[in-house]
Amino acid sequence: MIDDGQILELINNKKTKEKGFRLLVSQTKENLYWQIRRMVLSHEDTDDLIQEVYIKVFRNISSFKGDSSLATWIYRIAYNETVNFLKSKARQQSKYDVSLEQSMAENLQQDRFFDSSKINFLIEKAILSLPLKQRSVFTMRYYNNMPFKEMEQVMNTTESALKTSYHIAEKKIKEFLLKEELNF
Amino acid sequence: MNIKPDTEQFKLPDDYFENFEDKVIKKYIRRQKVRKIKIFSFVSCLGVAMAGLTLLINVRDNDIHFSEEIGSLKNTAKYTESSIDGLNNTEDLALAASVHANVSADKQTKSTGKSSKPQESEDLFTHDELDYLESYLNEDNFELVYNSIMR
Repeated sequence: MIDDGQILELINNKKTKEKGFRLLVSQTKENLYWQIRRMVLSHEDTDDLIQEVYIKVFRNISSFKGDSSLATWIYRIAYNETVNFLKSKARQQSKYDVSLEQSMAENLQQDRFFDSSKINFLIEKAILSLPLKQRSVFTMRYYNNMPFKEMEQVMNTTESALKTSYHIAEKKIKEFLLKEELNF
Repeated sequence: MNIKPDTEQFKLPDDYFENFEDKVIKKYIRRQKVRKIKIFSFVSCLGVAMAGLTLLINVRDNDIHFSEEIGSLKNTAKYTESSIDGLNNTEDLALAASVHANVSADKQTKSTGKSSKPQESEDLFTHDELDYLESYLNEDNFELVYNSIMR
């Protein structure tokens, strides 16, 4: 694992710039992919978004001030891109009188890259029922094991607010699953 | 809370992360090229627009300049015209003066019976010449001159 300083050194040198970018991508791609995928659910959308995120990172690398780790800075860009993507998709979806969450759940059932067993589908449905911010906090914490301190920097919110959001999200998911189980 | 699903819940193509760096970097390079072209096109359009604007301003300035020149030429033409008029007037005046002089001379002739035009005889011989002729026509030559005239 190469540290941020070395990667930045490579990127700042015109001759080794590409090598620096390659290293940066290879070190962050998997975590970044799953962070986005957990939010947008579809592989195709994730593939588009992750590439856009890296292009943005390459273009704006000179504005990285070192206030956080490079990975956290990239997650933050990815989080903003994902939220913007979901908001724009929700606007488009509103034309068809179907909520984005409903449409995402329907698409997920037919997705060839998703194991649509009953329990998996219910859990995803429960997560989709959460407001966007709570959903983001929950997926980052629960699936990606991101510490609240890092999430603070990624989402630009206080740690206590994030903890509260997480607990509310957890409670809502439990309630949703219990309700669904009773119906089942 | 124990709802964490199977990690295989979400799948992705087996070779997805293979050559992923190449794919991203190629896309970045392509985008940068497109961006450069867009910037170049924008700058070119801006340049053309600026050149057009400068040309328009110049044409307008020249128009003003030409208008001024045309005005000046018009003034010159007016001045020349009035000068020609002036010259015509001078000619007319000269003609009028000449006509007036002839008319006056005729009137004088009619009233006095004597032409105002100079006498030919007075113009033919000066006083000195008349004196010489007088001295020449002395007694010796008188007969000779008389005979030749009479002949």
